[in-house]
Amino acid sequence: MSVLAVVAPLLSLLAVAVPLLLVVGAVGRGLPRDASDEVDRAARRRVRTASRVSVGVAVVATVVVLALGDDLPLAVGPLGIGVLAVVAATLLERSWPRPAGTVRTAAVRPRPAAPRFLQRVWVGSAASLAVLCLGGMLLSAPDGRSLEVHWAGGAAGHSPFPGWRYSLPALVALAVLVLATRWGLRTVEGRPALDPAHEQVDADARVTSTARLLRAAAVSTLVTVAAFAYVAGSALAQMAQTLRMNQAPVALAPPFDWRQDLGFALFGVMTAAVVLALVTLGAGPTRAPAPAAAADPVLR
Amino acid sequence: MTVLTVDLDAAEPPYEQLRAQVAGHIATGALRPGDRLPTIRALAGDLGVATGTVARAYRELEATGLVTTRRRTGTVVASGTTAQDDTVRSAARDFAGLARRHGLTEVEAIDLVRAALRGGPGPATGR
Repeated sequence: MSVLAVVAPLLSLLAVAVPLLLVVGAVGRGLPRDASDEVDRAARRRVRTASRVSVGVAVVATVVVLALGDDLPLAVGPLGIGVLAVVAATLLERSWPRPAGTVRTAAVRPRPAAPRFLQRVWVGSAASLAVLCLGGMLLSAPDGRSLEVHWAGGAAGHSPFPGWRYSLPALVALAVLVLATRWGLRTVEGRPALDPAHEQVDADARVTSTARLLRAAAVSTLVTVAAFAYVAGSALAQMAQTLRMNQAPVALAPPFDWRQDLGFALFGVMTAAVVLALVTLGAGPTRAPAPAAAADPVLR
Repeated sequence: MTVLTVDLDAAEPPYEQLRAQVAGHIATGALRPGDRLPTIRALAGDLGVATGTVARAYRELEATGLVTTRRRTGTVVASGTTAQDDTVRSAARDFAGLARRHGLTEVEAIDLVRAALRGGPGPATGR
């Protein structure tokens, strides 16, 4: 317990800080600067500003979370940072010019599709975190922060463990992140299009904005998944070892020790989440596919 | 590029303007079966109108069988719809050009067509 008590917060700090520093570089990507005219330049400027502001908000929030340094802020910190980054990007998305005048024109063309890979990673990571939280709440001791096993004449405990004390706030933060991301995606979809002459830059800006939102949401969730899986896996694996060393009647021999197997499986989940978070930071197009050949106008 | 225009000052409500234009694009073949229409939120955002306006236009188009709406694919031009005969389409194009040359507004031109379809002499345009 003593080694884990020292190492776990340090690893949690790294788990929060390293990916979020990488986010600074990845989420901050804008559109290429090859603007053709003022409308084009203004659109690219807006995309760049949204990226920089959301990254800035994420960095400040990370510093605050790390400064607090307590276990609960560290547990929900990445999700909170994700929420703030998504909200900042969404508010800036609402600052695009709106249609004016009494005669208004719109092209009959669907919006570019959201990056499928990022969408899947976001949905998958949110579902994984929900499962981890629910599992943690089921297995934890009544105090909501440790794992305990009792048997006739003895008991063993390990902490920290993602019980209700960490999982419940994390589930609430995840729900807020889901709602914020949904609001952000709807805002990007409803943002008025640029004029038909700037169809490509409009589609590029939209895809970049969508990717930024999904990336921020997915990475902050994956970091939480990795942290929760690591903490839960460590507690389970150490509990299995403790029970065997103390020759507890409830101890099981490997490979049929479910606590040890589950602990190792959670280490696998942690590794997968970290790798996926790194891949996600680099994934996602910043350009929409070129629009199809325009149909001829008939009556208009 | 196929476009939709809404005149907020026109006597015709915006949803009807949208419905008529989409129906017209389908009739002329500018929109073909399977073509996806923008989502309600997207079109409302582009035109700066309420989502309810676009939703009503789409609902009326769906009621007449011109479009279908499904959860996964969104609103698409229905498969049973076909563009009008080339001769009729060409005549419509010619008439639109003639109306433009004579300075008729869209409403006046459509009123003439409507009157012709009903067998009357057509409204006086005052031009």
